[in-house]
Amino acid sequence: MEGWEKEDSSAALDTKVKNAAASESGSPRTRERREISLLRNLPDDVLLEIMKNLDYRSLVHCQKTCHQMRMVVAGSVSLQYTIELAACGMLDGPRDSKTLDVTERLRRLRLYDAAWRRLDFTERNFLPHLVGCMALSGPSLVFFRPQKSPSDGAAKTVFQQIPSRLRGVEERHIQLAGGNGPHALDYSQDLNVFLGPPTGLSNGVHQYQLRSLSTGHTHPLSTSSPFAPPAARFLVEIHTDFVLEAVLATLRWEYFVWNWKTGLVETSPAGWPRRVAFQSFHFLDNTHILAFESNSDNQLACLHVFTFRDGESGSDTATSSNVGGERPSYRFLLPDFAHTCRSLLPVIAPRCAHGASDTAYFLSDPDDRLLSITAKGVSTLGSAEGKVSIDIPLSTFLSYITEQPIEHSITVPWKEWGPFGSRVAQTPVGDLLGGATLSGMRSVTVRNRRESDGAVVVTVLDYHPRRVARALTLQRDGHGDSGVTVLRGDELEDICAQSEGLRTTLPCILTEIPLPEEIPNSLAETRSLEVRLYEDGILFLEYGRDSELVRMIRKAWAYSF
Amino acid sequence: MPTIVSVDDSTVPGEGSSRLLLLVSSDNKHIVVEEDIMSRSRFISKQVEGFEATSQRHAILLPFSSFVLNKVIEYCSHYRGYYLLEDDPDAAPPGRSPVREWDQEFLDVDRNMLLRIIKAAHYLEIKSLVGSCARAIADMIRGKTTEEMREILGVENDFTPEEEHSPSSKCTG
Repeated sequence: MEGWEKEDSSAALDTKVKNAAASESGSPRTRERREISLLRNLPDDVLLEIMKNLDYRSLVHCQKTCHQMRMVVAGSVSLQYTIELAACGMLDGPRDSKTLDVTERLRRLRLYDAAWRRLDFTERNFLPHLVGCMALSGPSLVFFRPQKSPSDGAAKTVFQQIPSRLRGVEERHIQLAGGNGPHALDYSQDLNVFLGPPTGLSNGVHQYQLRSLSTGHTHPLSTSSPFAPPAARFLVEIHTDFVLEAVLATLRWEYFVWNWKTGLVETSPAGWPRRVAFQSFHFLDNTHILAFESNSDNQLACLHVFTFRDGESGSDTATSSNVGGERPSYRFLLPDFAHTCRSLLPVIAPRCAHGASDTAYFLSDPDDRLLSITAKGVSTLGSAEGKVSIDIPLSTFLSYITEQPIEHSITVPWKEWGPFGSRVAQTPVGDLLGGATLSGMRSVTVRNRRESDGAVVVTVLDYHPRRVARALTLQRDGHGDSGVTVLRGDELEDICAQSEGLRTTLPCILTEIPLPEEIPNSLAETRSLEVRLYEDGILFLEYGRDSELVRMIRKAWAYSF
Repeated sequence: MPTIVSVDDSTVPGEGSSRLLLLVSSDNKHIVVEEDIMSRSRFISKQVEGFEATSQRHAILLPFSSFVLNKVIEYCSHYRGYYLLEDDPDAAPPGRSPVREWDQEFLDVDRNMLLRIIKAAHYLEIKSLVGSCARAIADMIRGKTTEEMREILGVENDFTPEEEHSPSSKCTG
């Protein structure tokens, strides 16, 4: 036993060992008690390690167990960040060495959430010489800049980046060549899809192109898009690897799903309904496309969901992948408005919130998105004309598709899919100045206040269940924010009471803010004011005329955080 | 007098091989273990540094039973020579520890044993083992109510009724 210190292994050691042993063994009763209090003897940093593995709900319960747990949470920024993220309905953004530490993320998250609960306008910024906003993704907008005079050069596309504390980006813009055609943006992938000029190959045939939002360079990985025939209308959308192109040509809609990385293209299915008037096309996820369909009498308006398979159908020629097995589709019927509304006017196309961009410090869950449909009509209950709006969480809607995979195309009546996961509300005519704009689980509309003054107000509806739950708690405890109302499912004013099968079960937070004084109500009524909801806040694009009769846009953030 | 576990001459450290450590558990069991097995423990490493500074080696007393200590030695032997990121003080990533299949099986023990192991691992400063135990304990209490958590963890409710109903932390407000 060379090297052992002899002294310590003798009597002194023996005593020490005995003491140590005595503290561990003992009578069965003390042993039992010690077992019970074992956890309380666990040091704080061990408890912290345990709690780092817990989700929000368990953490909330955990910190209610005893003082020590509560103190551990209070002393840990990362646990508080986990709790705060969940309570705000957000997810943590990507982590890398360049981005913020947890303390700063938590601070910004609290400011961000507070800003949504106490909406306030920021100062205006001035963007010269721009016309309509054509697309928005993350903090990035694309505008068309027309040719002002022959010496001014060709028309341009302007990418405007709004400064964002959610991402740590500054204001910047770049001007690029490109026309007034359809655009799609994906800020998280730094991509812009746009319709190129007609190619020389044949009469007026177009092709889509991909370029970087930040530099304008053509994307190196991009394959070539399918040719788009000369058409009356184009729609384009980008979602992850897919670009959805829809064209209205010779009175008929066709769509293509183009995987811009592999070059695979899937076309609209063979049994594609010819006479149906489609009004919009959106990606729901990486397998489903939503199209809105309204036929001539508008009473059978429905949401059509098509599946696409990204070339899986076995075809080896890129342009004809629809020859494989049948791709099932769903027709989700809308409520029969005949009971409550007569002479329903064409339905405003459904809007579907985009998934959050993944470059923010914290972001909303991509599954927490809203689908909103607005229809106009004349109520049978009175002579008043009205608008009906239906808001549905997209996850509820998608659950009808993903939980019951089908072999063939089916039609789903409203009663089966709509009533319990949706909110149906009616507003008097003239009230709603334009359709809703959506982001995540929030929807924003501009409307005349119901009270006599008729002032234009901005109405934010937030359907996120956790935020609603917290707002209810705050209201119950008397800490509710002014201007905020929490609407329970059963308190909603709606048209549903009169119509069987129509119910409102979706609670939400309603916030109303008046327009800033310098924006006259008339602007909103003449549609010179465009409201866009995005992840950072609400964007007001005010179109005015300067002395050169070129339109300009001012913007203000609904809040600064 | 404690009985010293006798060590065969052939395993006595020679040049180039690992030296031996004598660990004494609270139930007075003496366990001889190779030094480099236990090098995962920062506590033991610090002791060894102390031995080298004073060129005197002595037994290391540990405040937990041989049953727990053997379990920890089993863990350290399994990962002998492996580099585990969580144990590296310079590279330790924040947050959860990774799921290792062997650890899951190793920690498939009753809850009191698990609590003893995590305590021992914390005492010995073996971060990877603390992390794995923490994950296992978290799995036991995840999704449980406050009352069930108290039951599982053996915690007593030490809140006054007022405290219990006050907002549980400032961040929920």
